[in-house]
Amino acid sequence: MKVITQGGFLCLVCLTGGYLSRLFPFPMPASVLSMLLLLGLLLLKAVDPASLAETTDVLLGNMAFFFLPSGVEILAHLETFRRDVFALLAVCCLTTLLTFAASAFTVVAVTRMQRRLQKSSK
Amino acid sequence: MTTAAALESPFFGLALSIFAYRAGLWLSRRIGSPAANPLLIAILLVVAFLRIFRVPLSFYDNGGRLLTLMLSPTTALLAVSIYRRRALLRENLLPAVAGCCVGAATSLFSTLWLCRLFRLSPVLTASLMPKSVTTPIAMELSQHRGGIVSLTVVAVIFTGILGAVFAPSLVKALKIEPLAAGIAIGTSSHGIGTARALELGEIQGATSGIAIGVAGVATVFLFALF
Repeated sequence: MKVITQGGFLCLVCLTGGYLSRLFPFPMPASVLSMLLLLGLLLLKAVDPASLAETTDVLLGNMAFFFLPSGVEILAHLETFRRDVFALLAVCCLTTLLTFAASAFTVVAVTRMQRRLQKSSK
Repeated sequence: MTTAAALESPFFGLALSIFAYRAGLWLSRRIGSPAANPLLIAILLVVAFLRIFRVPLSFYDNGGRLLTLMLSPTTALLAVSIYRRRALLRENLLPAVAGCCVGAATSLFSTLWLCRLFRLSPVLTASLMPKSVTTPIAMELSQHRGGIVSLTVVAVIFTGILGAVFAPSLVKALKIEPLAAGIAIGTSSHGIGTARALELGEIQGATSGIAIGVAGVATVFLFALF
């Protein structure tokens, strides 16, 4: 019964997220709103994370499984990008490297700046 | 004819998905390389099955749709994993959020720019742009932009694998500190990278997990600007 109740609660969260996403003037994924909604409920202590533990561990632990059908759909689109496969792969490789570097550099730079500010204020 | 009709049942798609995924997990463990991603193997197995036995994609999708539906509650639950690490996030709030935002912006801009350089069509560009974020968020953003959702899923997996394969050696070679390494891995290669970040250390794994959610939200807002 525990898991069914958790599932019911999650359905309500996603239903609300889906409703709210329509109110945004720009594309706002319903799943992101549901996530922010749940995070808000957790931070406000309106929901106890322990009461969601079973569902969280099963769903997050097997997250990749639920993408399988979306990945298989590619069968219907192979012709659309057959010519561009190498360009697509090149874009993926280069941008991943750039994103990694930019993100790591920013964290290092901001951390250093914070330390310097803390030192000078002492 | 009766056999073909039986495959229209949603249980066909569900059963095929479950066994293909189990096989993917098993093979991935046997091969033991982060390049042998279980989801990627499972996709190839299902595609091969449908091709060989000439089963229409729509039959498979009768069951597949039910799994796709589960993505929303799964994404919502990322909130629980952020909440569990809220102390770590609060401690490093500014560098962590800045790293995620700059990373998300770099990913969007560089993808847009490179797609134009390679003269890829607007549909393909829209499919690739959200590829650094976690799959459910990337799927919805791609759909809103008129991208091919399944291409986005495959690009997201491929990007994750790249991160998982190369990030650990980059971190070691450049001696990147744990917080920066975790945020960079989570921002550039989401959940698949995070699994590897956990092997580098506890801080790297935890911050990488935080970065999945934060970079996802940052990407949504940056997307609105385009």
